[in-house]
Amino acid sequence: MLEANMSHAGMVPVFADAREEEPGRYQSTMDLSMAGDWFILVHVTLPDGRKLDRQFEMRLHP
Amino acid sequence: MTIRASTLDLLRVPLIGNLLRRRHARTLLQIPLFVISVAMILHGLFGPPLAPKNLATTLTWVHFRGALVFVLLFAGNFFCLACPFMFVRNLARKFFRPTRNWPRRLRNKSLSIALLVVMLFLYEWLDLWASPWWTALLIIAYFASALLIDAVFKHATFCKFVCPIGQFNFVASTVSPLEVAVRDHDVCTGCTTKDCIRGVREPAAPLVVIQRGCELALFQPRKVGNVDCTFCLDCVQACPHDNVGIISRLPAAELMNDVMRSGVGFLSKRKDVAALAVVFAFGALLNAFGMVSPVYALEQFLANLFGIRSELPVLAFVFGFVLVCEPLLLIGIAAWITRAWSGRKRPLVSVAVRYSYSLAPLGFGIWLAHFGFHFLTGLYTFIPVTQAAVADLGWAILGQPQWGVSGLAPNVVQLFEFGFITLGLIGSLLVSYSIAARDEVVHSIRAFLPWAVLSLLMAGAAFWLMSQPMEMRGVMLGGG
Repeated sequence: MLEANMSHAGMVPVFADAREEEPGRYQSTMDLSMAGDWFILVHVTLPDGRKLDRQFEMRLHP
Repeated sequence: MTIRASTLDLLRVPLIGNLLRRRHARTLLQIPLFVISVAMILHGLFGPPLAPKNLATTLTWVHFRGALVFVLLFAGNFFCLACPFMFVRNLARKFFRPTRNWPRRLRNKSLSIALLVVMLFLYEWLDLWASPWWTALLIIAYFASALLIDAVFKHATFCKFVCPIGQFNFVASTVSPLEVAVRDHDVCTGCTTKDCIRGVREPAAPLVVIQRGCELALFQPRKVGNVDCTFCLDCVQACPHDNVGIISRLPAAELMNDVMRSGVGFLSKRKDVAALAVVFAFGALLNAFGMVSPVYALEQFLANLFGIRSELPVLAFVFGFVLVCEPLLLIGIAAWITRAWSGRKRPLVSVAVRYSYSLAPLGFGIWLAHFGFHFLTGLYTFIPVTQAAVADLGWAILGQPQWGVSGLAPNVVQLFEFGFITLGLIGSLLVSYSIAARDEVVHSIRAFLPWAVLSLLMAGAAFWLMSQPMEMRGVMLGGG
């Protein structure tokens, strides 16, 4: 699952599921409501049940 | 002069009035804010690093700022009344008594203006809105400063000469509809004890104060307006005649009159207070500018122009231009034209000081539009953040965080933004016209016009800013 948060407090996070397009490759569509800096959190559940979280940043231009 | 019966006195309103007139009303209001402040500090330091998920950033930059300006708009300086920093300071003063007076050369607004500018600068430079950790440190710094300064210096030194939030509130509350004021001046004429300023003394030991008088040196019978008034209500408690109320008045009217004010003097002679009003107004534009897309283009342009990659010098240049060069130029030109067109020889600085106060209502309208946007669009976001914070402690009593709740839609809030700026513009035009009509009997319209143009220019800039796509930035120059 993907979770997008803005850098500013008071902004609602956006959630989306990712689907497997091919082995090891996932795709998702998110409706990011505002330009600016977004922190994308990737919540992963591995086949053995372990959970992983990864974070990356991106800037959305208007 | 006797207050007309038609004015509202908040202290005579059932329930609210009963609460505020209690001896420990201030403490009762401070305790919840103190507890919330402690929670914000702890969550800021040890909670999630993402600003929208942290109590420190959410409550500070969304709810506190928004609630502050709305309370100032609809009531008065009630944040200073409930100030949690003063709660700690008052507790500490039960154990030690400061003996020093604040240095004479610092008994003006210069230090607090500098601190207000530093706060605005740090907000942009450190991306405070995006950093729970820095926000928590800022709150700690506030508590420490209030405690330290008022531990060393007597009276309400921190509030009157240091606190940047207090200075913001003092200027903003000039447009508030309520004021702590005397109910009936005839009663004060017959008063011999002056407890509202001296405090109530122990009859057997006159050096022992059992109820403070005004710590900000505002003598009620000669107090005018809200400048320097923290709404602490010490005067209400001290007055033996129950003659002080929280009374309705015409917002911003105090900016039009140039009368002797207890503890403040004549506004027309206070260059420092005028400078505070100017920083307040231009700072509103600057702070709002930091949240829209064109700021990137400007920063990048300046960085390329000067051949630098660091944000610090670029921001310093922007701050210097907007808070120093631009006001000096625009206010200087307006004052020069007013003096020339009115045909009355007066020092240019005196004209500039007198009319600078007219920018306060517009400045407040812009702050209101900006802070109101975050507050209204993120109105309910404290709910999931609080739920998550409590759940992180292992207590599921508030349920799973409802991350979907937010507030009003941005396009709806934009209408409010335009309304607030328009309201501020009307206020500024009325104040500047009123000043011109009082000062320049013959050529009042001519004297008014330059300030009307300046207000229109600033309002135009504010409308342009608020119509830009919001861009929530939070990374360094050139990043992303």
